[in-house]
Amino acid sequence: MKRNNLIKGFLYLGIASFSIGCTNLDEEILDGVPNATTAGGTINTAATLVSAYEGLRDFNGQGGVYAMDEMSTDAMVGPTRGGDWDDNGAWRQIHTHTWAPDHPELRNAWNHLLSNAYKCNLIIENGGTAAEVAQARFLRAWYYYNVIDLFGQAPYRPAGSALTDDPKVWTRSEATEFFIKELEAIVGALPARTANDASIANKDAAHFLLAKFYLNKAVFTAADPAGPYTFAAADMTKVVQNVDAISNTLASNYWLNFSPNNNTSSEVIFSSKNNKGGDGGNMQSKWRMGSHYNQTPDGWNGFATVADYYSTFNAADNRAHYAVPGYKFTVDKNAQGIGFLEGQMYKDGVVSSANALKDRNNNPMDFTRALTLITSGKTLETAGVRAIKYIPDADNLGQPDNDLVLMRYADALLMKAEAIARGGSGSVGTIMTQLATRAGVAAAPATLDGIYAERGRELWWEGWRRNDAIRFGKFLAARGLKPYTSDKKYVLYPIPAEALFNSNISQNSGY
Amino acid sequence: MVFLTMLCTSLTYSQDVSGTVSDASGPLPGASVLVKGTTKGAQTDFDGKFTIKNVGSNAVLVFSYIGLKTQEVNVAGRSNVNVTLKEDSAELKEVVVIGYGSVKKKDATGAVDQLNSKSFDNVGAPNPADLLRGKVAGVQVTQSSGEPGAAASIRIRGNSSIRSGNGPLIVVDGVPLDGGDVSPGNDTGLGSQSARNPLNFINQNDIESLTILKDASSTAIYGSRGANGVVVITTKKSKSKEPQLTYSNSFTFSSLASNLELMSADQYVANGGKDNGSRSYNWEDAIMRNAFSSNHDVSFTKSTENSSTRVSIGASNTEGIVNKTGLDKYTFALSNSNDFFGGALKVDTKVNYSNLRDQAALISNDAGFIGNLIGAAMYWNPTDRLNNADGSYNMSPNGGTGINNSFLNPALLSDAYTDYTNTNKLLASIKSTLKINDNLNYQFLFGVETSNSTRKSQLSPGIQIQNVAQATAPGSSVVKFGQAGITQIERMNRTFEHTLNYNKTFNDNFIFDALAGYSYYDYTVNGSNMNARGFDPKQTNLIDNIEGGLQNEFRASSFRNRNELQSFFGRANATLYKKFLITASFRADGSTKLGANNKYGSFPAIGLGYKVFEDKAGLVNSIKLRANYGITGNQEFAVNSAVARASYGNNGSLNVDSNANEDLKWETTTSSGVGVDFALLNNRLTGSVDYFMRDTENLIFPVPAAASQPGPPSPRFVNLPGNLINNGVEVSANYKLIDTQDLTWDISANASFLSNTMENFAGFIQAGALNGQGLTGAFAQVVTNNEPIYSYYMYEFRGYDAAGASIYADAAGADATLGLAAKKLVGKQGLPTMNLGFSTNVAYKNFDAAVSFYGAFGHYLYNNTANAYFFKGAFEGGRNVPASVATSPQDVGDPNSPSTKYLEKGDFLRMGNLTFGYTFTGAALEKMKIKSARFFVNGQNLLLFTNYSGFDPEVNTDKTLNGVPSAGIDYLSYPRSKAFALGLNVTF
Repeated sequence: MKRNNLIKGFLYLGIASFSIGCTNLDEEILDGVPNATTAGGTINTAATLVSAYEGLRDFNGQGGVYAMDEMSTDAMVGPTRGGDWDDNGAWRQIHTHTWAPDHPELRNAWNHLLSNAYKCNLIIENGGTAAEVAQARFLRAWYYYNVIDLFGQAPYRPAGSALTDDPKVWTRSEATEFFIKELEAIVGALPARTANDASIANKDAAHFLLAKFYLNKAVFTAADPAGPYTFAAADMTKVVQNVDAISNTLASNYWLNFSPNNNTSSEVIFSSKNNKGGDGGNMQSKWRMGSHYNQTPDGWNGFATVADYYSTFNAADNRAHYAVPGYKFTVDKNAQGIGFLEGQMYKDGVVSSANALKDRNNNPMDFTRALTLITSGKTLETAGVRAIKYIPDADNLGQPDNDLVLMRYADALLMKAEAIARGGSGSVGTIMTQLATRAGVAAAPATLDGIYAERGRELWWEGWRRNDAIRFGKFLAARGLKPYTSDKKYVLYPIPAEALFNSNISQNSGY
Repeated sequence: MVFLTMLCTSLTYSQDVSGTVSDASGPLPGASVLVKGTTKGAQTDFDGKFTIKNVGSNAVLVFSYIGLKTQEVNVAGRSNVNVTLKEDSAELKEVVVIGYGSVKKKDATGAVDQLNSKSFDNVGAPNPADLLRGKVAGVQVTQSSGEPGAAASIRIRGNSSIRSGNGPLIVVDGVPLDGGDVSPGNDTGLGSQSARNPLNFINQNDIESLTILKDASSTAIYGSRGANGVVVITTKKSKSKEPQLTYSNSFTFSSLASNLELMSADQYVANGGKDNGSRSYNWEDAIMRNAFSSNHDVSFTKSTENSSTRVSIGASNTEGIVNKTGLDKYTFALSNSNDFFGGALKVDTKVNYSNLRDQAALISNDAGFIGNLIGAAMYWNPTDRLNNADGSYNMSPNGGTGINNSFLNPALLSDAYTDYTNTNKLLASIKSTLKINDNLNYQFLFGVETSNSTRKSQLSPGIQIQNVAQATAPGSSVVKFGQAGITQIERMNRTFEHTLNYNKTFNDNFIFDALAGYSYYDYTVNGSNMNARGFDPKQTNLIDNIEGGLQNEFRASSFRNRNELQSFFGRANATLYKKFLITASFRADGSTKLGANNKYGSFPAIGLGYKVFEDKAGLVNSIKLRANYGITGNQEFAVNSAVARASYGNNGSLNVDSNANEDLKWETTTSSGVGVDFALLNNRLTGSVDYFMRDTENLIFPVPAAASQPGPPSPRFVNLPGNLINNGVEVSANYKLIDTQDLTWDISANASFLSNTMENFAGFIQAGALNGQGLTGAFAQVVTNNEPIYSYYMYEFRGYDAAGASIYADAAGADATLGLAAKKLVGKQGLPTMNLGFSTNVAYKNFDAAVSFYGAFGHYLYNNTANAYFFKGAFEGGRNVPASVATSPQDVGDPNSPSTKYLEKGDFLRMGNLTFGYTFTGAALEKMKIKSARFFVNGQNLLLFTNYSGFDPEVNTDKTLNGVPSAGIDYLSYPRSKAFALGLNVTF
């Protein structure tokens, strides 16, 4: 009897704990939030918009989109120095047009651009406020502009499609048409540019981006991406109109645009904001990517410019060399520390034999124009002219205050001049003179060749060189460290190998 | 009652013959003692003691016990006769633990191997995984490095998954461990460090047996978690009635096992290196030491008729051979078993608590140009002194000044870095077994596995490294150094398991047993991290006063997640006509982690056995054929992979984290195999041969984020089409060469041959990240169709041209310079294709000796260390390299591109263990009330045969790339030691 009671009691206990155990196995998210509108959920569009803006910080770094835009041209090269900067050939491949679909920088750029476009989708499709949606549509257009420019085709997700579906793919022309319409639809809804803060999407930025789209439309819609390109006069006129609609003015000093307080420049149309002391992108790479280890600010001894490109600058051109008042860091023989750095370097802002810097092998830190893709010998560490485009923030070299300029009014003015040269209606006026005067040199002619050369000087290392070189038909041509004409497939980057898991996408022609 | 009676009688006379009967594990109750030629005799009591009255002085006593070898001993006038009985054809009588039960090995239908404590009692191992090494066919154990407490990977029958999740399920006393990292990893700015071995918490002294379930018919009862095999650990229980105290200790001296020859200062100068004057530097002495370790274990056991208790305490202190590394371990184990209501209810309680204190040096998996502690010690110019004349550290090696940007003083780095991990872990379970009737019982198991681990590390401001741990306050241009981090992980896992067991012998020709069960597991983990940088240059106790960091440099993060599993399972065994054995099992598993549409998976299996011969006399004694087929699963991917998840970042941004796939389902492995167990030559030769084939489908794989763009930035876990095929042959054998009263000698050997291929697979997945200067973004391995996983993919190196530039093969196979070279599959793999183990034991009277070897063959190792540090340009830059590199024809500007130059054969054979022991006997011990005492000396890793040029060919630095692991890559890993130990075991 007792034993039966025991058995019963025990079984009840077992059944009780059994029922505690039984579960419907619904998954919980404990350290995040559900991010879907299915099952009654919502999406915090305001916070997602913050994240979509923060995506712009990825343009700060020396790799990804930036390297693809600059290093693939005559403006920048990433030589291998002994064991340094070989990185599986990644940088040499970009400069010599020998990249393949498995290139890590291509993949990084693809993921960066499109995952941020996805954040914009979330805001647009999930009930963001009108202001949020307008900003998200602008940001999405900016991210896609880069995808169209670099990769040609562009994957997209129709509103409401499941995340597990393979994304659909726009051709380059379809994407171009789509985003021109997008920008024209939202330009009215965007706010005016905020004084001293161009990091918020604004009307001027939308006009600038529209001008870029129209100017490059012939390239983006060409039957063969490598050309020939037929620039329609109507598109060129659109470029002129959009530039004319921009409310910015040129800054009196070219270098204000790149200083730690460059948010105050009237010339900056759109930027990615960096806050001193941590909240921002990897802005320090703007001086560290080229500077030698023993320089101040110390760097990673990586990227250099190519002699032919450097030679296009007049010695007097203050866009190429600049002495920051009170500058205490490394300077060249003319006591100029910003811009291109050639020859012997001196520490502490003072030129003297006692201040002459040496490299890590005790050779003089004498940056030479002579440069090979793989350096060696006495100039292993010092071959190649270096450049610092942004004025290092002495208050915080690691996490500086300089905002990253994504769109600048000087660029807009040169686009206008080019559009007119390509048949758009309007007047070039004093554009070429204004820029040349500020630079302290004679004005370039407003011809296509003159404008291309001037763009190379005015916008050096700002991320437009590849886009320009393709539009002017110069990208594939033989040059200094790439002494051959590239196969025309290289006018577009390949779709990253890993993206081909998407069955709707096919590799770009030739790869 | 019988025992008590005998105990009383034994006290009445003193001239009678009495003594103790033991087996290898201690006193043996219930053994039979018979005076030869008479019917006079006795049984041993609970403590193995016996007394027989009026025994003639020349009588012969016959000692016997089922399963042990009968022994005859001449009394020869003695009043006290103690004997130790030895195993008799143990393999066939052995009972092996299987999932949810046990079975006689001779009746097992699956591929199951068991190691009992006697086979590893003489071997000191830092964690249980080491005990398996080289001992079981088809099981490969690879220690990731030589660091005390380093993670070890256990692979049973190969790798069945492309990504992580290839480790077996580990079940301790019925509680399945969740297998996650117990202690946090670490990232110092000089690379990240791995978490420690999650099995460190078990004290070897508390392990009774380790059972390896290899095939689907034995693992399918664990369903979704059985695909990679199962290791069942059973802890010790009390065996003695009288209180018994055992004390054992060991003292170990260890030192660097293998030399990695770099140039001496003289060689360095002779080969053209810059001479900075000193000749005192030796890179090994700069960071390494001869280490001393000690281990103490005390256990106490006691039993009554209806209860038994064992308590043990262990304390060990293991010093690593690298300065400031080591592992202190304190363990407590309690095992209690109680019968109630005349045996109707039995309650088993197990408690296992441990406290681990790890100290680590800065040895990271992915250091860059500046290196970690090992790298810094190796590249230091040997003509530079570590300390200046005034005793301060030399901060300007090679004439450099200021902030270190190319050379770190290894002594300073060692001094500046402090890293402690303190882990508390409790594993406890209560198992209640209720006997409902003679054939049926019900069991409820409740288990808790909980741990709390805190890691504190700091890099003091005394070391100033460019771009590492440096910070500036806003508005200030003063650069400050130093970094401190505190990371904590807490786990709480609960197991509820209900099982019904039925067994009945209907008649000799039909024996049947069955099992039905339900289980529920709840695994939660949470953790947090705080980090600060930029400390006052004079502060030294950063981790204890972390608020000294710059305000704008504080970072904090936290996480928490939970996974529940619910399962229904059953198994039936039948033995027909004493010859046919059938096992069928089924398990349905559900998991919260899986997609809403695929929560449950079904995992059936069947095993068949046929005893061709059993216990026959003569040359062929027993032969059993086995065949099995089954399906097992794997759900090893991050929680929240099936649901759309976002989380908040700094400044109110909401970031998309998971690339949700609500269709995620189980990865399934279909296994089949055949095997034969044999006993030949009068049971002197025993062993088994197995063939198996495993086909894994619905491969869980993180498809790179690029494929789902525009989409979340993280990879999406999907079930990829493709088959990962593993097949292989396993052979194991034991031969008793000599088997006499005074001398025994036996030899065991095992071998496994494994092949691994991806089939029907469309992907080309990068794996095996490489690190170091000039290697950003580089990788060495791929997973692709028709190749083994982790196949090497790189340039084929062909030598140097006249200018010293490397010549590689181009796409067409012709010689080419780097710019035109083409990476290709080089036909070599990181996973061994053959594993061997053999051991031999000799016992002569009181002496015993054992030696064991193991090895792995057929694979290649990628020497990332050499790739990153040993090339001409590094020497030119003022770094030390091996002499062969300094004198090679390579040009100083020739880049160190990843190529077959750094790919080396990984074959090795190691003498893992050599032990000599002596067991004391005689009156002196009895006077001291000592039941037994054994002294041993032991050598570990005394011999290694390999051609590999790195520290050690048994290495597996964690080089996971985008969630895909690697195999066979060596990068600045903690060097392995050789050790010599002395020890003593005493039982009172």
